[in-house]
Amino acid sequence: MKSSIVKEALKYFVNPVTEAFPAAKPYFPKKYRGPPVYDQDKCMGCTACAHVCPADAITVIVKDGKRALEVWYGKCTFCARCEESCPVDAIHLMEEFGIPSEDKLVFKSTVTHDMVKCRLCGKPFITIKHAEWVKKNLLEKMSDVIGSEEIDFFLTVCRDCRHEIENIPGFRKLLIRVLIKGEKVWV
Amino acid sequence: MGLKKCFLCSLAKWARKKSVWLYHAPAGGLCNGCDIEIAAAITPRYDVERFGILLAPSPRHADVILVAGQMTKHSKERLLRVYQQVPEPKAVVAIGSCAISGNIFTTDNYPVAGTVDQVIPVDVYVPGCPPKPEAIILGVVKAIEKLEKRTAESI
Amino acid sequence: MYIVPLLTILAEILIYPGLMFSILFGGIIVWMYRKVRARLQGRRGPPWYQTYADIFKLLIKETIIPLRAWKAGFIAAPTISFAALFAAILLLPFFGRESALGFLGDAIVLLYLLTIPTFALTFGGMASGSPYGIVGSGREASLHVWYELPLWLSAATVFALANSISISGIVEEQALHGPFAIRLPLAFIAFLIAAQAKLAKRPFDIPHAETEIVAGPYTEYSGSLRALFELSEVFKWLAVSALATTLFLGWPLIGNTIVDALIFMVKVVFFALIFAFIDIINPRLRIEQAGWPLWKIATALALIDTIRVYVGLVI
Repeated sequence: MKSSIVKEALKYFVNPVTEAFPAAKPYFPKKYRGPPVYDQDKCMGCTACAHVCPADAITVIVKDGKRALEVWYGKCTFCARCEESCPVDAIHLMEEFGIPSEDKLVFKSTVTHDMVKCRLCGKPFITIKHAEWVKKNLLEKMSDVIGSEEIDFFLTVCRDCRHEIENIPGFRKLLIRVLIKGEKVWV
Repeated sequence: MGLKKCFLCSLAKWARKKSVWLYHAPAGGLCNGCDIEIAAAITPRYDVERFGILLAPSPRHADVILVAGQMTKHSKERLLRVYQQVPEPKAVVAIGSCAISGNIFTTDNYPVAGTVDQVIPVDVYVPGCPPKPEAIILGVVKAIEKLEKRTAESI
Repeated sequence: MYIVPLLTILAEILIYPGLMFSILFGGIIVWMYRKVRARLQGRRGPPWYQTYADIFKLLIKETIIPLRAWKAGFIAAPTISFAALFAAILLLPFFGRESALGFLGDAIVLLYLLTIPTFALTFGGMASGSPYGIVGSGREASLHVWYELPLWLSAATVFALANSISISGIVEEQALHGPFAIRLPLAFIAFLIAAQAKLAKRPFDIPHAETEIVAGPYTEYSGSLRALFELSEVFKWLAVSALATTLFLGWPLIGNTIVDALIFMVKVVFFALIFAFIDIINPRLRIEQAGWPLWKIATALALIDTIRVYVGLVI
């Protein structure tokens, strides 16, 4: 036997390499992907994470005029797509591991937001924080194309109602131009 | 209860806590990530033999069954058979998110047959994809505590 | 009138060197094996009470007898194995010079008693009604054919040189003229190789190869029957190490019984550590590869020593 092998064996004989878990904290490498956790203050409830999740681990529940986003990390695959696609960095994959438990529904992280109700049909369709964020970004970047009242109009009417043709602003004026003045505006 | 007075009963409780043999039962469709982490839990770095935990070769020698993977149609009967072969008292630990819910492999896929806890009763769920070996060890410790409670009720 | 001898024999069977002492001491020997193995692999090992916890836990589990098993053979196999090893321990000289139940010709009876556990395991594996059991029993039986000859040949050289077939005679001869390990070195090496195969330790642990056949002949055993097999394993370590000590390392012997018993225990631990060490550093040999160390090398060495004793070329 080579003397280096014997020396190595004796070294590990006296000093085992075992980690002192559970007596000591476990070691986590940097950028470790643990369970995803929501930040209630930053999140605006835009459901981008729910759209992007490949395992359908994030569910959107609409109840009583509030939207709740729930991530169940019993189904999560820890791919971090939700963290990548969140526009406000509200969901983070923590540097810890999920503690095992007897009840599988305990592995959840929830966040709830109030919603805006459509002023025509009454259905809630967007959260207040998301609407405020959209308005702020549009006013900053496209203030020469669209004004503040138009933004308010669009952000208080739900999608189905907007597509109902009577509700488009300026429709009556358009109708007069086409039928009476004979302008071909659709060519 | 007369549990504390009986010397053999307290010896039984002690022995059941200090010597746990695991059996790894795959549940059909798995990517082997969880298997590798179970094997990593046996390595010298997270040495589990100092707690008395061994990997048993046959299900008839085992106390705790570690189930990993997604329940597929062709493994359903076989997993049920392995569960019936393990002698009482036993505990089942479902490891990884495939065993808890199916993860990416949704339930309307052609080989999938539900989740593991629709086939055998599961005691502890360990989340993760794959879970860290320390999480698996904590899950086994919780299963041992459940075994102890079950023994205390049955004696 | 018969009370005192009766009580003495009962104490020898139950306490020392019988049931209690063998279980406790054998448990410590198996713990030493597991601890040294763990430390050489760079990890901490189990605590000192691990063997006892394992055996007790197996005793309180449910015992399942499979439907296709031959019930009588299934239950008889671990019981016979345990009983034979227990009787063998009672014949070994745990008091230094004498054993608990010694008589004339007990060395041959001892060697016969030590072959019974292998037979019991073989038919126990076949009685389980599972294909893993049959394959494991086949491997156990073929290994048995190979190691039995060098074991008996090296023991026969010792009997020839000591000029007696009882344990006390062998020990006395060694106390007078020196241990047989020095006078018959080749037979000593042959015995060590054959004993490693008898204990079913690496490099000869094909019968219970864990990763190949699910647990070999032990597959279908659960609960108290499995606990009896664990106890047989513990007793086998003790019995084979004690046999090696008796046959080859009987010297030194001082007159005091207690000191002799302690020296005997130290020598048993020494042999157990030798077997443990050879087990830890070796991989597993296949069943056809296990033939050449046993059938060729060990038998040849034992034969050379037999010829030396016959011709008279010994110290």
